[in-house]
Amino acid sequence: MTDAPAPRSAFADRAHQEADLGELGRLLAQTHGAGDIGRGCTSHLSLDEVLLLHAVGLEPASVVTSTSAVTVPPGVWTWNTGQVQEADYAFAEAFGVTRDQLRAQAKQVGALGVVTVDIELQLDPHRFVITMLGTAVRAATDEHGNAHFPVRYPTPFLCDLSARDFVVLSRSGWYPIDLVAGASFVHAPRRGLGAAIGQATQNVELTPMTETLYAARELAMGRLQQEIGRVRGTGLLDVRVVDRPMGFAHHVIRFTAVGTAVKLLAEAHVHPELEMVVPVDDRVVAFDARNLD
Amino acid sequence: MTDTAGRGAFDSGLTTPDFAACLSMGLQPVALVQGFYVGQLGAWSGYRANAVHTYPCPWGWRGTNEHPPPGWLGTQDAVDEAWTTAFATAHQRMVQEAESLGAHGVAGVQVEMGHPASEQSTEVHLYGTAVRLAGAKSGPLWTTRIAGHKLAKLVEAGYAPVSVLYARCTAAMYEGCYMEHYGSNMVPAGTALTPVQDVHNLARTRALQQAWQLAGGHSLYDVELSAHEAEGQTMYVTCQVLGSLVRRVRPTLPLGTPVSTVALRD
Repeated sequence: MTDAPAPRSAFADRAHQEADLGELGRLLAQTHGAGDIGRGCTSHLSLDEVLLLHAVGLEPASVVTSTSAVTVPPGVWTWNTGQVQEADYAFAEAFGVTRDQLRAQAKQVGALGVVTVDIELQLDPHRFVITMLGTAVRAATDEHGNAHFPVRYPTPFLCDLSARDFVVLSRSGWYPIDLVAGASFVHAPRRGLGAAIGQATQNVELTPMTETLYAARELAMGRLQQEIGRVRGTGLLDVRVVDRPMGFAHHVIRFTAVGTAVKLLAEAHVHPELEMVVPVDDRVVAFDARNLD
Repeated sequence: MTDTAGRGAFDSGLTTPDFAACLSMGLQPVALVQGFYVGQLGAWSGYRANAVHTYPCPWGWRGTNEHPPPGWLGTQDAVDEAWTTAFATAHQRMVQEAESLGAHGVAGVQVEMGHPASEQSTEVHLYGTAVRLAGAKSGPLWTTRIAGHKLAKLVEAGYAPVSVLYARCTAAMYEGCYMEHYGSNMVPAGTALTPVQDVHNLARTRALQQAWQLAGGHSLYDVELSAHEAEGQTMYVTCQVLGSLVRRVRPTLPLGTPVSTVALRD
């Protein structure tokens, strides 16, 4: 999916320098009331994340968001055996459409990719709704208009990694390729009436439920592997697994796994050297908008 | 430290590290400034929607007593206007208070919004630390949610703060008979539910568009975007955007490569 250059940061040789706060204050004073010489953008990244991405040669371009809602015939959740194929298909369809729309928006704003994608899965009996929201990023340019991000993607990449993770990953020689998901929904068979009565006073394993969990996992992880192969990734990071009975149909086991496919583009993995620090910056008090209707 | 406004001791909401960094940058705290707004949502404003699209009956029925009317998609502009006006007014009041003290900016702005009495009321409370900047030219007062070392990093990256921004959109969708159609087991799995997609996309897209218009060409960073869905026969999706507007004041090389560290905390 990507060109395979030596993805060494153009700034790797730039030594870490302590900022002169007095000089920065004078700069702020000199530019008080001055105009904007940049390209406007929107970003849902925290300022820390913006600065981190800036350090690896990226800057925000635009917030991009996409929602896909697809039908699931409610009848598929009634007692049965085996896979709930309609649900498997609906999940793959909703995830794929949302991902494609997000990528199309990133392409529209000329972005290299989308970082810190928030993925919201809303799985109801009659529909699956998947929402993705992230910040499309482009190459930051210097005063000569030169871009310094070392990788060129033919189509925008998508990843749900944080900016910190992105920086750590790229400095190690690895880069995100795409968001991938694998899902399966499997009916757990009932125990026979005789077994249920006979075991009523015993501590026993509910073998059908355990086996269904394994079956669901095998299917979902197999699909995940296929997806990683499809986007030509060599691995998956930050996978988030949900394996539990559906709230509205306890006899159906849901197994979903979502993460970012990554690829090593450097010649070899580079391990960063770690320094110990005592932070002196305080967290910005966050705004909690959830209490508003 | 000089007494900048004849008020005696300064007061501030800065943390100790931020205070130390601000002083190093020549930012002198003047006072803790605040802006309040308490309002009322007009009666019925929660029930009025400006329709932008209708969904005809998938079976071809027209509205009758036996059959639901067609579905629609719209925005609740009156509710959104009440909240954005509340924020803008509170922000303006905080800025005026800072200006009256001869400040150049307000750092470390915190935002609190809620319903103080009932769901028909709006309250916005902003507060931050007004600062004077040694050697600054005249110009519009800036506001920002950050202070101290993070403000210094912002300047180092070539940006200067502009203001705190708030935008929102409430989209509503009445499903009509569409959901009956989709829930009828007659539609195969994986069929797109257009009205549900539309209400989610409309709320987010409009809120971001509104933010973009308010940004006036500046960059909007640090956006906190929250979407809340309330579902009944009519589905409501509210999307709110709160962020920091910044402007680029100098072309600059990207920041130096960050150093990986292990943080030692309590």
